[in-house]
Amino acid sequence: MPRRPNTSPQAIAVFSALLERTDQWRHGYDIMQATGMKSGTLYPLLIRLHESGLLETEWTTPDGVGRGPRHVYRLTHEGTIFARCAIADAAAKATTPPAKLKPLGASS
Amino acid sequence: MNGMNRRAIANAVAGRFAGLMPAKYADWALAMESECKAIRNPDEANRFAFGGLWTCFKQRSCEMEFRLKIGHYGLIGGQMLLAAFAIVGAVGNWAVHQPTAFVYVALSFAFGICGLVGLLRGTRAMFFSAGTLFFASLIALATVNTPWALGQGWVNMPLYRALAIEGVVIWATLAVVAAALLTWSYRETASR
Repeated sequence: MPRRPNTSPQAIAVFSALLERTDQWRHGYDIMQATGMKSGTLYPLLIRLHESGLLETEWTTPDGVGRGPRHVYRLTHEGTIFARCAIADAAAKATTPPAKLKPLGASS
Repeated sequence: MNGMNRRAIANAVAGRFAGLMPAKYADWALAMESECKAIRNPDEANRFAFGGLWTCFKQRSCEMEFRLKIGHYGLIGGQMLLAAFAIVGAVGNWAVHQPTAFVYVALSFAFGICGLVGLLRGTRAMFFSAGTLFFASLIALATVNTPWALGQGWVNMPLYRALAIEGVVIWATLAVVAAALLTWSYRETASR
């Protein structure tokens, strides 16, 4: 059965990291450190979440001399609801034991 | 390699993001570049930069135009590879049986020229050259099965027949793939 979009283990990890501080903007590198993900996995996911309307982005003003602006991220209102549901679903799946298969020829 | 060199590599790689990323994700390319520059540890910055490069490639590979290019150059590369294999066959047969070596040389030329035509003139020209060589292979296959050819007493007749069949299959495949690339390309152009 195909998985719902944006409910991969990587997406769940990003949601968990972003839900820790929903009111704060987070840098990409900060999310990488929180999730242990590599940039090659994280950024395509952030792009997809942004395109789905679950993530909002902003450019921050430089916080020091010689520093450039940085892109920061946080969940939208819709994204926060979606993330909570996705995490709850993932947790429920993890605690549900797999259905046992009956051996062939076994009587019910 | 010292930290400054590693940092320079990371910055150089990050500087390529904007050119590699599809135009609609230009903002994301800038975002990754600025993030990479903000990372203090040069090793971390390097890892980030190469991951960013992979992101650009991933996003680019979602575009039909890029896939068509990959298909086009894949066809050319495949033909060049077949030309090289034919040259190896020619070299291997040179001392044993020269006519067979000449057949391999001719095959190598055919693959090489078809590939070059694709490289210089595009997919459409490659479709026509593959189509022409497909019909040439059909004629060759028919010829090796004629009573005249069978009466010539060629020692490598089964090999010539196999090469003719191989030519029919390979050039038919190339022509079909080139036609598919052309069709997708037209559809892509029409949808814009």
